[in-house]
Amino acid sequence: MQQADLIWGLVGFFVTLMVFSYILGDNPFFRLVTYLFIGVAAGYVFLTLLEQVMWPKLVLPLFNGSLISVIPLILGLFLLTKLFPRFNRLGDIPMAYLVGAGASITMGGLMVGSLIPQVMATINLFDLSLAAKNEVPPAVQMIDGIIILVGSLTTLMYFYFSTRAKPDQPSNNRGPVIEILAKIGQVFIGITLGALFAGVYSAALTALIERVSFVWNFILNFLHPILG
Amino acid sequence: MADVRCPICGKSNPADTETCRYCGARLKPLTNSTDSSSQGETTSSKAQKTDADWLGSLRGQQDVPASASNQGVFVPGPLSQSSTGKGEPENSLNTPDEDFSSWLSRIGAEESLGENSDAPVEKTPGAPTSGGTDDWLASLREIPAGRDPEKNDLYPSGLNGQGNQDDSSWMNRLEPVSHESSSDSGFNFSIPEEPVAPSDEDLPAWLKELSGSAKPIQSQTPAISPAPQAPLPDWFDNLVTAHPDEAGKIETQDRSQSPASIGATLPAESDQPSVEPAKTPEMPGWESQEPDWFSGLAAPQTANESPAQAEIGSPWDGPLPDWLSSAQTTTVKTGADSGDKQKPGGEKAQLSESELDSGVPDWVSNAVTGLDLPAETKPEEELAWRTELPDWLSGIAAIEPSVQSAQPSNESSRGSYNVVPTGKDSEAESPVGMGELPDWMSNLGPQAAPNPNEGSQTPALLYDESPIVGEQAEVRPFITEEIPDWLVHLGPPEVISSVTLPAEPGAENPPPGQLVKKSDEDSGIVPADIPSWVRAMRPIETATPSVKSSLETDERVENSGPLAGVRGILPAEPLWAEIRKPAAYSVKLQVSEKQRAHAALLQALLSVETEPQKIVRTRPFPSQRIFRLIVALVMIVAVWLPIWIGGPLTPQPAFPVSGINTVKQSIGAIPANAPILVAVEYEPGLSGELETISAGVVAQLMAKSANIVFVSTNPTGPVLAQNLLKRAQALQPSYSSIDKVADLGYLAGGPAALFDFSLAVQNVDPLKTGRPPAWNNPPLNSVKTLADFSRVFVLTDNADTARAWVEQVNPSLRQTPLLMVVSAQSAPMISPYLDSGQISGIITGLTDGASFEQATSQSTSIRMFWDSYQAGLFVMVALILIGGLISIWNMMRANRRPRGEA
Repeated sequence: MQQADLIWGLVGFFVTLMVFSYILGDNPFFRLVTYLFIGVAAGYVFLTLLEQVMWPKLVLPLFNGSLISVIPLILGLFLLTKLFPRFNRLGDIPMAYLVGAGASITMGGLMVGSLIPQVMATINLFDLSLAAKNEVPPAVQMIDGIIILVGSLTTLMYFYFSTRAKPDQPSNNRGPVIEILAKIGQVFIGITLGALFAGVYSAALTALIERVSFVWNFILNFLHPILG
Repeated sequence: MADVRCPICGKSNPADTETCRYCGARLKPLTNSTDSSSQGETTSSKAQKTDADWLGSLRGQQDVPASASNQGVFVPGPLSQSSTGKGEPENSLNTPDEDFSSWLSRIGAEESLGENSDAPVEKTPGAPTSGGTDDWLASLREIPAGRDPEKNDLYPSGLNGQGNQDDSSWMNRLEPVSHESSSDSGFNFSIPEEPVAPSDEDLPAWLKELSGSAKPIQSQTPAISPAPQAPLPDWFDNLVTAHPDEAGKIETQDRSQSPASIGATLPAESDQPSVEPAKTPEMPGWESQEPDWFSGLAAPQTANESPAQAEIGSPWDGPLPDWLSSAQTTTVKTGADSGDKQKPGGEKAQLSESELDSGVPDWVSNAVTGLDLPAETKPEEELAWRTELPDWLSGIAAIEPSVQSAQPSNESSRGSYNVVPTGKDSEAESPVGMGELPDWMSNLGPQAAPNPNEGSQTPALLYDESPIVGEQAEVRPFITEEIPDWLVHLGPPEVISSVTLPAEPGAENPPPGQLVKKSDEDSGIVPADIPSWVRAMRPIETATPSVKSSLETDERVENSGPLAGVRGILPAEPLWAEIRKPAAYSVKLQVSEKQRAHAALLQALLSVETEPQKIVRTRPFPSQRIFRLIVALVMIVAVWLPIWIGGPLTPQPAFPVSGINTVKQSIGAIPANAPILVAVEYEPGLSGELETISAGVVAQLMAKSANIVFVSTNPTGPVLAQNLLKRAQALQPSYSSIDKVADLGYLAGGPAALFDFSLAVQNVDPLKTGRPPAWNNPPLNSVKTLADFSRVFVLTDNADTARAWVEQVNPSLRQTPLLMVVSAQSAPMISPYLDSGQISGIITGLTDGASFEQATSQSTSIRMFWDSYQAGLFVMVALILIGGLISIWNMMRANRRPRGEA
């Protein structure tokens, strides 16, 4: 196991260094690593699909005499015709099923899982009884509610670009109220984007720390004894 | 009182005027007193009769039977015109053709009367049958005693002073030749085949005198029969004595002039035969165009007027016409009025007064004087003089005398003669039926057969329109091979084209009575000079539609069938039936040059757009790469130093996050051996963060001895789940993963798979090779639905995945808490779900992980990463602040420069 760990450690060490080589700019080491990563990932995914999807859910039922498995087989073959322009019209059938099923599931979950609960939660922020239950001062909860409400509305107003055409006025001017609200929403959007950037940086920093730590530990654990 | 129309100009004049106001032509003929019934008569018919009366009077003087006076001797136009207005009008004829025929018929009748005065005179149809003109001709026709009837004697017997007998001898020789009569009116002449030259003895004295000087001329004009032997009338003698020195150029009667105008026209000069056929005057009746001298001749002359007239005898019964009487004293102008003679008959005003008074046409006087021309007379002038004779005279001269054969017959129409074109070479032509033409007539007549191309010697008659080829057609008098130009162009074109004119004098003449139709190729007719007034009469084709079609038809040449090569025929097959090769239309796009240019221009514009623009490689400034490298090294060092130092350099977070407490509490409440569903939904790239954070959570679950079931909708999820389990198990080495951990594998389908999984958990049954089904294992043997799980942990770095779990799975969880461990980058997106209560607890990023670790009093790798994390955050904040300050400084500097420069 140690040899395996050593080998895989070395592979990881060098691959990590190759990735860190991008600091110097685009270089073949970095490209090699990226190509390697994409290939390995694609291979692993194919094998996973083959082992965990196609074989147990398509091939074995067919061998077991399940005729209903013929339908996904046919639809899968039709989906492959998308690769051939002459027969790509056949791939429209499974694509239609997939798009239709996916869209319906997504829309249902969106409505039930996100839109309505979020609206209810925004409304409940102004429920001061819940504030007591949550052991939050009502004022604070009220302010939170107002901020959330204003932020939500102004953010939506920012993305409102419809204007009424007037004879002697340029058409790219929104109403003054809409314009003010859009400016406020622009602020909330900016804050949100900033928070997202911070989170991304935090995640990347954590990844860096982990890699640096890996490299350092590898050196300490495996190369130092060798190098003495 | 009715107006009288001038025969020349056609204008109306008062009835009592004797001469025309406009042209000066004589309106009232000069008639004989005995036959005068036209004294005061102004009608044209009466004028016509006047012309004949003087002839009749002449005849009466010569004891011509009275019946002969009514034979309708017709005097042609020039001769019928009366200058003195005396005498009876000639036989009225409405048409020139009729006049000719009647006149000539009378001539025949006169001759016959000479032989048998009691014999009725048969006339041609339409020929006049009344009038005194017959008398003149009859008198002329009478062969005087002692006169050879075979000798041509053109001069009336009374003219030469030898008595009426002699005067009419030549006329008597004008014998009609029998021929088939035709309905056409006109001259029907038959030229005797054997022209007989009159002997000198037969000629009248005056003609002898004339012939003596005219012999050279006569020789040049063989067509004109020699002068008759009958004595010349007195008027001729008077003419000779009056104008001995006259150049004697008889105007060649303008062919365009009517015969009536000939007598009134002045003789032309020698330079020009003045044959202008285009000047066809208006065609008044012949009867109104009788020359004055003729009318004067017709009128009975007094015995005192002229001794010559007395010598003439028979033709004149009345007093001598004025023109004759004044011929002695007046001089005829020959040259001055030459141009006038060429004018139509309506312009006789130009005539000299002497002529008008005397009534002697110039041509006559010239003829008389011309005969006496001295040596100075030019032959050309003489020839010209001969060419200037009136047409009818020239026709007469061309007529061959047929004295011998001239016999009246029932079939023959009086006055009808066969005309045979004789040509120049023909000799001894004399009027048929007249016997031998008198010398004066032969001399006066034009030379034989002048150049027909000139048209000057063409006969004064027109052929009939209908071609009569090879038939015994009606022969018209005065029709010779030479038709005067004015007659040629007077008729319709068909007539002209149907006339055959000999091209050369020596051309072979067709047999008598035969009309040869002339073809277009053989036409030698010179276009006539049409006078203006004739042109004005021409119909103008104003709105005539173009005859292109006919022209096209005419141009089209047939190329098939029996009529191949012929033009102007109808096509054998309709045009639409023509087999034509269908037009080949090129399939190729027809592009013009302009379009090509435009297309090329458009293509160039598009190519510029599609071509990748060469990016001007801006060499990055060297500090940029160094700066990037420095920043990277700083970051790496900042992260490495805490790791290399190894000690806690920074404290743990001071206050716990609400979400972390919930997770802590939820994990704390997990019963033993409770199934916990752990969804590994993060990517391998962020596995360092999430594994670091999730390892502590999983370790806490392991500490609770929970059955952990891993599942993932990410293909790399199962592998990452194994790594997580390994890392967590390192923290909890006592946890047995074989019996406590189940792996459901990969759920394909994304949200659809989660939805399906939420409805039927056991549908997810990844078949492990060599392993029993996972649902039969203890971790999963108590799980039938998704709600049977004690907790559901979702480990993800993607907000969409977390939302999908919330949207699809959370409704099926019912009371099962949904807990999430998310990356710091998706925390802002997942927090609303925490606030809405859809997520029970959430651990976001390394901070919450550290807090959780602190809360659970675990020592995980988070403590090692926390110092590096803090250093990294410090460096990042520092770099952001430094960068911000630098950008502000630069902006301030940029604002200062415009101000400084300004």
